[in-house]
Amino acid sequence: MDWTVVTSNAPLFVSATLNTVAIAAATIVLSVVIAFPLAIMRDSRFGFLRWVSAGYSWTTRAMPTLSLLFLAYYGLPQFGIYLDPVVAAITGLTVIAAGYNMEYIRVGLQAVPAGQYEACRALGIPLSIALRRLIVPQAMRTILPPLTSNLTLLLKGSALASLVAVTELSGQAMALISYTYKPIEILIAVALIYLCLNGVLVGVQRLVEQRYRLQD
Amino acid sequence: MDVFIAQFPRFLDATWLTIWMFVLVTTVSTLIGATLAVLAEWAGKPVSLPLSVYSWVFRGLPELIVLLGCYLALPAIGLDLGSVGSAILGFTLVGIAFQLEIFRAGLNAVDKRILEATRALGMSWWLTMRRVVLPQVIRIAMPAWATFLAGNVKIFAVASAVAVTEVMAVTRQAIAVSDQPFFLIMVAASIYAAIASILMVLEAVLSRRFSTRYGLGLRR
Repeated sequence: MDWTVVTSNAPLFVSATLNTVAIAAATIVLSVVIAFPLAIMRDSRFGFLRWVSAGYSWTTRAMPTLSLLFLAYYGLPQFGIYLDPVVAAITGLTVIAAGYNMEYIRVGLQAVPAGQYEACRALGIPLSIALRRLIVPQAMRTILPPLTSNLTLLLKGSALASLVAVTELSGQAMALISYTYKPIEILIAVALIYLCLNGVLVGVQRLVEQRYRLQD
Repeated sequence: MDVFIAQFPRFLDATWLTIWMFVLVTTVSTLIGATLAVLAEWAGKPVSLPLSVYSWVFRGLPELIVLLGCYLALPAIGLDLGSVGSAILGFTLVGIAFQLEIFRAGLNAVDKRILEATRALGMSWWLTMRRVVLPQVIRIAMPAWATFLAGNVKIFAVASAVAVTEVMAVTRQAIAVSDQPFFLIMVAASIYAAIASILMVLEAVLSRRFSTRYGLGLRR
């Protein structure tokens, strides 16, 4: 074992880790933001909106994440849309993650008793305010546990960005291996970084859950 | 479209490769995962602690890193499995970790008083397992197992990164000789979506079958 290959390339590992964190964080935020309207559409009065949202959920959950990344990076240029590798990776990962997140959010919204919706309507509260002030705060308790445990999957998913030419942690590892021929040391170092990041996310998950339990 | 027709035999081979790798990995990881779950439950801390660490590591690492480890790091210590071999090993290692958790949850859900009852009736450990515990565990674990499989089949696309000529790799090669990347990637995605959809239907059928067979049986 020759650990100098890791220590001498430490700056590369640090910047790659930051890239991984940035991609994962952007995906987490964007996918939740997109998933909310999709989840609400699923229970819409209009058949067309329900159909779109159900179709989105099925397609994104049946498609490999990698194929969506390829669509964004290799497929879109066919129509003259050239995305930066990082943007393409975030786009692909977000589209898939939103499909999963919308299911968690939908289940959470359904867990709020129907009487609450009816009461809002009886009191003449517009749907937008009812959702924002009454329904969503209650639904959060059901939504957050599966949503936060999905975050670790998103972190793992960000490794796929390396396959569309992003030098995040996995991409940097592959590059370093190919010119140092030290796969064992590099992969162990990268694995440890991933496990640490994972540990942080699990900590965040605990914190968030505790916070919402205290508000009960 | 022409490029797809020209590449059709290769897509077919690649689909077949994906399917048999998936079936092999699923079978092996289910058997080993279930066995380890039983061991972890009955052999106490010295066995269950290392298994917990194992499951944490392999569920926490990206599949790509595990595959790269099998493909690049194992040959460095003298174990060269080739691309398909290392993909199968990598996915099996990850699969075992998930199956271990699925079956451990199933075993935990079995009422401990039932075990006391079987001991009071003088049933042997093996008989208890076979006739009492396992039928319950299978019923409890089946939905989670099927859900995992339906989600897991798509991750086999990552095998293309370690030079396995499965669907995604063939797609990439076909893109190189055509000007229609969008269409080709959609074809690849549909192949995976079709396999995943079959598994999703299977998941629904299995969970319904198990709930009626056992649910009604208990109520009768």
